[in-house]
Order: sequence, then C-alpha cells, then structure tokens
Amino acid sequence: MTALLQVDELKTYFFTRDGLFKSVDGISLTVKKGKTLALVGESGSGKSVSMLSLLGLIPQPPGRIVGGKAFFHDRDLLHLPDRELQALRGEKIAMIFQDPMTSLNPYLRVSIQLTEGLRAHHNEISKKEARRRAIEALEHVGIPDAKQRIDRYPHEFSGGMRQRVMIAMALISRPELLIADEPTTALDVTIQAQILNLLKNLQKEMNLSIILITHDLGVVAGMADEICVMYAGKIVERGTADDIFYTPSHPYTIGLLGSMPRLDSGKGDLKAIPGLPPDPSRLPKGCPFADRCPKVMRQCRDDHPLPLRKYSSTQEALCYWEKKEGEKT
Amino acid sequence: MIMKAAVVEAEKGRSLWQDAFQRLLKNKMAVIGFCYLIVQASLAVLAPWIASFPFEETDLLLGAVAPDSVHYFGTDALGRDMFTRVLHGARISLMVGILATAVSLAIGVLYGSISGYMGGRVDNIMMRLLEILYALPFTFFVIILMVLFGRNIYLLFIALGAIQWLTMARIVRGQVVSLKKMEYVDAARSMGVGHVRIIASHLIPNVLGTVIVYVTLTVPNVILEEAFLSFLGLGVQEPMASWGTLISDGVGAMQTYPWMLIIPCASLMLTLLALNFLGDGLRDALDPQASKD
Repeated sequence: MTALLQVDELKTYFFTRDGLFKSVDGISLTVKKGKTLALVGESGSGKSVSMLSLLGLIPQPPGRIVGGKAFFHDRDLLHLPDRELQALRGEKIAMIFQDPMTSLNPYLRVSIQLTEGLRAHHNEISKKEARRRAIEALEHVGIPDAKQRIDRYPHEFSGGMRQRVMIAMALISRPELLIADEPTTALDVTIQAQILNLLKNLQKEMNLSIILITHDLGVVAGMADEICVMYAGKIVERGTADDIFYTPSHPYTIGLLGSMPRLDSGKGDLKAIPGLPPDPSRLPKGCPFADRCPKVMRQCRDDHPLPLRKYSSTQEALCYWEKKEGEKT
Repeated sequence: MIMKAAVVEAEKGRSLWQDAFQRLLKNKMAVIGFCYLIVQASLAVLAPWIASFPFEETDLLLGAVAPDSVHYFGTDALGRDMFTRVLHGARISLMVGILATAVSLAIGVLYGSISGYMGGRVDNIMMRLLEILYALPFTFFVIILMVLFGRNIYLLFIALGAIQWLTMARIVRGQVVSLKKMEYVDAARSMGVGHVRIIASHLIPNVLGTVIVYVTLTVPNVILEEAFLSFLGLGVQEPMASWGTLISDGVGAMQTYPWMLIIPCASLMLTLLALNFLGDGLRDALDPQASKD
C-alpha cells in the first residue's frame, strides 16, 4: 500500500494583532491510495486550515506555514512555487467545500464554473470538449437532464444538487486526492446519505483518495478507513475506524463519542463535553484539553511535550492517561 | 408565443440579472425615467435631422423671440433657435456624462478590484495614492489641464472621468474585499483558476450591481460638473453649446428673456431626475435582499 500524501509536522500559524494563533501545530498524517482519511474535531481545531495549507490557500499574511513537509508524489507541497502548486490544484488535488450555497458563484452559469478549472489547466481543450466533459461529469454525479441543467444558474439547484455540482466540479479533471471539507454539514440528513454514498462509489470507481474533514462522527463511521481526531491544532488520537469507535483511548475522543446522540439511550442522556476549547492565541502549557478533561492529572499541565501512547500498530493517542484493559469509559 | 418564450427561458436558466430586470420593470418611476432617457438620448442623437435650424445660424434681425410655433423654445439674443440649441446641448451634455462615466468606470473598477483583491501592502499603497488624488483641488486641476492643452472637449471627458473614478475605485474595492472571502473564490482557487480570471469572471460580475447603481448617480454628477465648468467658461466653446453654456447664457438674460434660462434648466433637471429614478429603481431591483419576492 503506497502513500499518496505524507504530511509531516505541518505547522500553520496566524500572526495577527491579537497575538499568535497556532491553528495547526505539528500534525502528521498519511493518506493511502484509494483510502479515506477522516479529520475529526470541533470547529476551530485546525482541520480546514491544515488542508488549505496543503493547497497553498491560506491567506498570507496573516497566515504562514512555519514548518513541516507534505509530500505528494515526491513533491513537497509546502515548498512548491506558486505556479506549480496552482497547476496541481484542481488537476491532481481537488477540494469540495462545506456550504454548496455559497461555494458556487451566483452570477455565473454552472457550465462556466464547471469548466473553468479544466480550461485553466489545459489550453488545448476546446470550449466544446470542455462542455462535453462537464455534462459527462454532471451525469456521473447523478444530475438528471445534465444537458439542459448545465446552462442553469446555481440558485436554480437545490442544496443537494449543488453539492453534486461541486463534486462534479472537483472531479472533472480526475484528481487523485479529494479533500472534502464538511461536505454534508449544510445538507438534510437524507441528502447527506446520498452524497456520502456518491462519494464512496466515485472513490471505488476512480481509485480516489479522500480526506474527509468533519465534526460529525456519524458521517465518519461509514466512510473512513483511518481517523485522526484533532484538538487545538494537534492530532490527539489516530486509529482505524474500529479503533476509534470501539476502543477510544483519548479522553477527548471518548467525550466526542459520548456527546453523539444515540437512539437507544434514554432521554436526557446527552453528555456534552464541559467547557469550551481554549483560545488558540493563549494555549495553556501542556495539554490543551486539560481544563475540560475528566481524567486530568498534575503532569498534564507541565510544560513538556505530551507522550504519544501506542495502543496497537494502528492506534495511538497523545495523552498521559493510559486506559486500562476493560476499563469502563 | 408567450408559452414558447417561457419554455426557452426555463431551458436556458434565469440569471439574477434577468430577475432584477423583471423587478425593475415593476417599478413605475424607474421605467418612466428609463423611457424619458431613451427619448432624450434619441432626440440628442438625431438633433441635426430633427431641428429645423442649424445650431450656429444667427438671425440678428429677429433677435430674441418668445416660444412660438416656428421657434418652439424661442430664440436667444442672437436669434438662434433655442430648440435646436437645447437638442445640440443635450448631445454634448449626455456625451460628456456617458463618456466621462465610462472612463471612470474602466479605471475605477480595474483599480478598485486589484487593490481589494491583492490586499495587504499593495492595497495600502494604492488606497493612500487614491487619497492623495482626492486631496487635489478638482477645479484647479481642470483649469490647469485646460490651460496646458487648450480647450478640448475630449480632454474634458478625460478630466471629468479622472476625477470620478476615485469614488468608483473605493466602492469597488470595498465590495471586492468582502467578496474575495466568499467560498466560491476559494473553490475556484482550489480548482487551479488564476488570479486574473478570478477577478475578471468571479469578482467583477458580482460588483456590477453596485457599480451600475453608482453609475446612474455619476452620470448626473458629471453632467453637473460639465455645466459648472461651462458656466465658468471652461467647457465647450461657442458656437457649440452644452446645457451648461446655455444656462450660463440664460442667466445673463434672465430678466428680459426668461425662457433662455428656464428651458435648458428644465431639460437638465428632468434628465437628472430621470437618472436618479432609474438609479433608485436599479438599486432596489439589484438588492439581493429583495430577490425572494
């Protein structure tokens, strides 16, 4: 199994008047060919920023990638000249965004937005050919009457259809890696399932690697091969989907799972994690989760790097607390 | 027939522009203003064929006569037909209004969108430059231009446009600064679309709504500026006339031949009023908040 993307100690900081925001503070991850990696965490945990960093889409200033490497086919995305990175964007690595209502330009026909990436990369593709491929892409993502619909404006599509258009737009150049930034958050539950199924099918068909950014563990469950749980700019736990769901070992992951509403539990059984994530410009010493952690210990607040505890060949957590065999969480 | 048109429309998709146009049609004052402007503009364009007298032809024996069935708007002290002169004045005034606005539009949109999109230091420098230009006394600037290059109508267009683009650039910049944070810009960037294309095809169409409204306010502004400059004797030269020079002449004869003042003033006022109604209507029609009704 070869790695398509290998991110090593990526750090993206924002230098603002209000101080230094360590939005992404040394994350490492590996995406394998044809597999799905999920980045899970609350809003502000650095999920999106880390992915935008890879694509060179961080607003600079105030943002700056201060360290790390990200190899995609032996090329370090973080140190690539702008022009080369732009040539990769959309062509080899594509991204879909959270809100399909705002990620399509309301003034442009869908056909223009679908083809403009393609035409930016390939001068040789004629307008007609680009249009043909756009129609094909729309049909591929299950939009009926693609031939007619392609000349419509975004506001003439429903939310789910717009997200399909976004997916068609991202996949039109047949990229190898798709970054999906909360692709279903803004959609109805029924539509969510459709979109996730669509992504899964397309993945199989095109041997696509996917990085799925989400705060919804329910979405992750059916999709992800590997899960990275992020908190305050760090990956606090990683493991396979089974590892995370059946034997979570970081108190934050346990809290996240506990705060998922379950049909089989009684009313009022919703456990929220107390408190709020720390202000990213004033991160506490030691573990950023310490103030909210039910298992907090004295050394958690020490100014030392946190220990990486390995639970199996696939699972590890960034925490002092060690879960005992069979301990009830 | 109507059914067929509706079907075609449904197939092509209705843009926000078309929606806005539909809403504009419902605004009576705006439609009246728009029609008035069309009539006024075609009269101006067709002036040499409509007017029964050449605009520079004097008839000193006749002198100034009040409006009658031969001279609809009367004549001035030199016996020139006022109807002809007002129509020819409209040519100059409307041309100044449109061309100077076009100049300001071209420079302003380009400058503003680049400044807003680039942000950071570039934006800062470009905006400070703008403020310096703002601080220059405009009348003084035009007088210097006129003295240096002689009285030339095209120079007048450029000079007026060069003043108006400052505000246009500011408006566009403000819009672009907020628009560039929209997700569709990120989405386009993530597709590998370049900066130039993002400005040209994503940002500028989105600011056009605001810009069009501002244009309808700029045109009367420019016409007034031209009238003001002509009034001071810096605009068009005799025997050519603009509304400004006609008003200026009329002021001198106000007590004896009031029609010389009233008629050009009324033409100017009606045109400005029509432009303002149209501008108001456009603003309401293009307001995204209203798009739900």
